[in-house]
Amino acid sequence: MPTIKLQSSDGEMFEVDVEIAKQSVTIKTMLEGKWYTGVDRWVTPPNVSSLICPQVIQWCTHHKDDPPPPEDDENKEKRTDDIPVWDQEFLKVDQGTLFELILAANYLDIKGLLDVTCKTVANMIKGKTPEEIRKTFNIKNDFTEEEEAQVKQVPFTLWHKKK
Amino acid sequence: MTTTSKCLHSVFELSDSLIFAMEELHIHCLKCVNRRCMIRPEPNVSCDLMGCPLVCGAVFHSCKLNEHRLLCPYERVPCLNCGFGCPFNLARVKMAQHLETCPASIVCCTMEWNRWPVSYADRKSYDNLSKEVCDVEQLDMALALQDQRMLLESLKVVTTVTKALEEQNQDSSSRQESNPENEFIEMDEEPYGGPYTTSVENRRSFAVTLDVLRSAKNIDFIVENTNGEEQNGGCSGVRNGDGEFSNETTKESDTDSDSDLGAVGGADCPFPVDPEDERDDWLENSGCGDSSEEEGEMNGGIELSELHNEGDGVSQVRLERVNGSSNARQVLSDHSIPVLAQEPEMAHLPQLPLPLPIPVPNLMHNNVLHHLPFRIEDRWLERKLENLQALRGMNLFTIKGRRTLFSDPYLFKAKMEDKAVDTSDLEVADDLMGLHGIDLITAALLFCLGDSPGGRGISDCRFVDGYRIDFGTQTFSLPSAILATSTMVGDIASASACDHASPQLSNPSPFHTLRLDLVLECVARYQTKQRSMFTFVCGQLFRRDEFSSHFKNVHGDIHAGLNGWMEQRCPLAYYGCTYSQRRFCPSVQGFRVIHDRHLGSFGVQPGLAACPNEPLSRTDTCQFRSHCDHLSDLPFELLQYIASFLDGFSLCQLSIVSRTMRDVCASLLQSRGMVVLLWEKTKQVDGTSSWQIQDKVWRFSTAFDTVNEWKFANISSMADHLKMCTFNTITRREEAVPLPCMSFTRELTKEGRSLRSVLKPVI
Repeated sequence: MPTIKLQSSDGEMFEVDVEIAKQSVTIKTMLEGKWYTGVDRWVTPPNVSSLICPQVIQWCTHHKDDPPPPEDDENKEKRTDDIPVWDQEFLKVDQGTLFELILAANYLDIKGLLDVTCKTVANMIKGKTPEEIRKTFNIKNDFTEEEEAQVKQVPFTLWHKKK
Repeated sequence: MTTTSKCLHSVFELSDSLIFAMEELHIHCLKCVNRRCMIRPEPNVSCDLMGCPLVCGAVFHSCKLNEHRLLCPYERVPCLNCGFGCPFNLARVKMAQHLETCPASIVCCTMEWNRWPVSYADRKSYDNLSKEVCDVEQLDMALALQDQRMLLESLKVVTTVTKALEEQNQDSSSRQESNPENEFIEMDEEPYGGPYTTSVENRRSFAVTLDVLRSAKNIDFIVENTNGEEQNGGCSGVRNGDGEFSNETTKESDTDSDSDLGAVGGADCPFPVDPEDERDDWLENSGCGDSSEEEGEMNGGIELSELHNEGDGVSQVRLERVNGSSNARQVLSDHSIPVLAQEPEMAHLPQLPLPLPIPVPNLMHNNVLHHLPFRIEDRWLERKLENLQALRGMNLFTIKGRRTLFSDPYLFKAKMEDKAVDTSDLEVADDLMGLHGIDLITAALLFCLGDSPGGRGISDCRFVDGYRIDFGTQTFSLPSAILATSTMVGDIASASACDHASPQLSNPSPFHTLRLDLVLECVARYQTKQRSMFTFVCGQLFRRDEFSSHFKNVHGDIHAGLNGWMEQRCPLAYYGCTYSQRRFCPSVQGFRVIHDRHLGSFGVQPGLAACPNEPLSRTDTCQFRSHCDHLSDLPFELLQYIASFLDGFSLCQLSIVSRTMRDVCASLLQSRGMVVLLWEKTKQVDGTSSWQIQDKVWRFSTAFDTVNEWKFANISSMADHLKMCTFNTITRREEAVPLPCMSFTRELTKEGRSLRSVLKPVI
């Protein structure tokens, strides 16, 4: 099977099947572009480190036989309880890796990977109080005391007007 | 130009266009609908065919273009709900689809549920259940506490202002002997040694006085200051602890620093009484005579002795105090304030809104019971009112919507004196709050029940000066520490105000004790409910597409399952065991239902996903560290995409995490939020009032993702808990016990003899 080489941001090369790589719309576009004429072809997606690249390849390899994802229906309820078990295990990583996967999936335009990673983060947010969310993600509370009291009471429109 | 007027303007524009178009239609084109019309264009007769510019497929004579715009499916028009705040302009063909998710298409949930107040017998049990409620995870307890909080916060003191009182206050402010702020500070300096600040000095007289007030029905008299001046004193006499009546010069009372919330007056404080025909009626109504006869040694009676005409021709009714011990009537000295019965003159004053009744603090001092407005000391009251003003900016407050007598010179005056009385011989526990065995929460809840015949009467409605005024028959004082927070009565009742006021109060906070039944009662609307039952309404707003899942999951599944189905409590909960287990989980194992106190709503919390605390596997080259804010560093579009997976409940929480998150959530308002019109009552130039749309406010609902199925949770059996339950005391009997019907045998075994030895052998 024809293969393609992916070069990470730190220069490491990874070889992957073209069909697996084509799950990335970015790579697919690049492969079908006019400037790829050589046999020895490689793609250098920026901001995809050598740590993340093999994980992306692993995910794409596991999902190579998946049907194409349906078009997003705006009215359809977006659920987060439908993450496959394999993906749940795959995404049991630290936050740093998880967010790098999000960025890689976003740049490489791999919708399936982007969805499961974003759903995983959404599940980390759901059901938590604001303080728990801050603690989970180390988010700094940049509201003043007065603003914090206001945001709890004042609806969005009035809040933005007061700002 | 507001959105509503914009929508109306565009509609009128189209209507105008239609009218204009109709006028411009040619004679032939007016009735021609042929898509293949071959008629030659002629001025004022016919024109050429054309296709729709938006390529909807329609073909028509060109003079009908404007008319076609009213029908074209691809014509962009404002949403049908634009008048309710929807900002969308969309193709007409997408209107139906949009209306399903229109942010202005809002439904208010009107689901009701009911709760009984906790019975006296179950009170201890609920005390135990409420002990560990700092972090309420039990759904039934969380909902019950939320209902109780809502109920207590509904106790509000409604303030009204009358010109008369304002003038009176302005006049009196210069004659103030003491600074209201000092009074306030005086309150602030109340010792916080315990949550209770007053004590009942003489329970028996207090009880008698309560009887007097309870039985008094129509008190058609008021006290008037005939001189029209403010007087410093109240009644000329005060009863001391020995039950003797002493004539002392009246003086201002400045001791009721913890009783500023209202009830004033002293039932014991005698008034000059003139016996007359009305006396018997009044005695009958008040029951004073009976009480004084029953409580022979008590001096709690007040009688209307006579009605006489004074020289000024004004009929006066004088009250006379009855000394029960001597059964002799003592007429007060002349400088006491006479009582006048007059027609009410306050009818000309404007009508006031109807507030809820307020809890009345215990003003029992030195055998003098203060009840508003039975006896009110003029200057004292003004000062207290100004204290209230200092607290809340109020000038006047009403009871059940009726203006008090403050604005009029018709005021009761009571003489008060601080005295310490030794009550140790009464052999009763100190009722520091004066609640007579009920706790503050229960008293407040009972207050909410008002005059329910099924409830416990804590106030009596009487007719005074043409107004129906509630006299408190039970009084208690709120901890003055709470008053120091300058909160409203409703806020006073809130646990947060309590906790804020004094740490001693919050541990444990008296308002964490549940006094409503844990069990929900669903009563159909066509059924007559018991009046002592509290009814709660959901009242939350949802988008139309969220309402069905809310009703199904929250009311159909969770509420219905709180009575032991979803949240199963230990069978020994009545004895104090707080253990409970959740038998079902939503959709996926590990997901659980939670309750958020701030939002006042249920939500679903997924199981554990990526653990944020796991150490980095390859840390050196990774630009992200666990101590960094990874989430906020993501591009805005990615944050939006992540937030698009959140339900309304989670968006509400996320929106108050940080500014960045709030902006992300704000960008989703039009697609996920709802818009509510903010109405404001405005006065027109001609003096009439009308409601105008002040603003449109956007917010998220508290809906969570639809739970389509519930699964059994992986939990152990309740029997496993019962084996270790501390309340499960197993009594093992080794000796046989006689049956209850074996009365003779039981007598014999009482002395410790075994049953076998007592029973006769069967032959």
